[in-house]
Amino acid sequence: MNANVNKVVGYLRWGIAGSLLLAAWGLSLTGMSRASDNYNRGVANSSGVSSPAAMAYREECGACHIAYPPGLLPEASWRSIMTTLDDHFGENAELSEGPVAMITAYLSENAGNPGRGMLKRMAGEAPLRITELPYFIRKHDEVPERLVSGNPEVGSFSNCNVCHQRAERGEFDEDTVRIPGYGRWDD
Amino acid sequence: MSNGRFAVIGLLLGFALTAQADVIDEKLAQYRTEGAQAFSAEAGLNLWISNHNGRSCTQCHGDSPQGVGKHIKTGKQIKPMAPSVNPQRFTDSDKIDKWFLRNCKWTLKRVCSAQEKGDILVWIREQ
Repeated sequence: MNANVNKVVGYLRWGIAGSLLLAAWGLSLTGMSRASDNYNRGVANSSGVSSPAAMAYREECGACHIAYPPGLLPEASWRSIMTTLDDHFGENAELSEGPVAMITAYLSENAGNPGRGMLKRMAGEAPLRITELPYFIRKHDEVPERLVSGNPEVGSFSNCNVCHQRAERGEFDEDTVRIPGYGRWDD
Repeated sequence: MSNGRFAVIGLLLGFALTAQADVIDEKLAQYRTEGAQAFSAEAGLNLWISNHNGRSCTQCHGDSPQGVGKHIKTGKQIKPMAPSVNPQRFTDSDKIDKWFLRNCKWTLKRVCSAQEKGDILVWIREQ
């Protein structure tokens, strides 16, 4: 009798532990897909074809720096950036009205979800620099300065694509990182 | 490679160069209506290489217009400006307007005059 009860309790324990593990795995999967949704939204549609607005964004903004995946900032940030192009972090990046309207609409449509993923705990804020997001800082806090500002091939954290080779496609996984003069990055 | 292919490539290059000549001539005519006098390649070169309070065209475009440039802040590559090595340059009037606006404001902290823009174009078209 006692042995049977023990058996049942034993099964229950395994069952509960197993369900918890499964639940945790499921949660981490949804978390991961949400984060990556945030990164690569608007970069290309499922068939890999870019819309005219996406092409205008890459042509106009990508002329001077990488065309940052729109999901990296919330809509309020993009709107603010697009209305101050005459002083764009100290540079003049003025565009005529047509492209401004088209690109603003594209960025707004594909902006990151405020308060979620890498914009967690930032709801209501409109940060202008991706490199100043708490999430960004946390993700890069083990990368020494000498590999970035002290590395002539990198120069600044703003040049995502120098190390994140697939940055423009919205892919920032660690296994796609190659730091010039250093190599793969594993922490 | 067959002669046919040479002919096609030659034809395409010919089109590109003609488009360039047309667009540059069109811009020069426009600048004249905006008050510019005779253009000078020498003045264009001077504007290109001179230092304007620590800033110069060559900081991003490089010392030679035939060479590849590098954006001073982002490090992004800038294709050569010289039509002899980059026939795509100066084939789009809107692009010419956009980059003169942005880059004059960065380099000179003001817009360029019609005269200055024309001077640069007549110099660079020969490069």
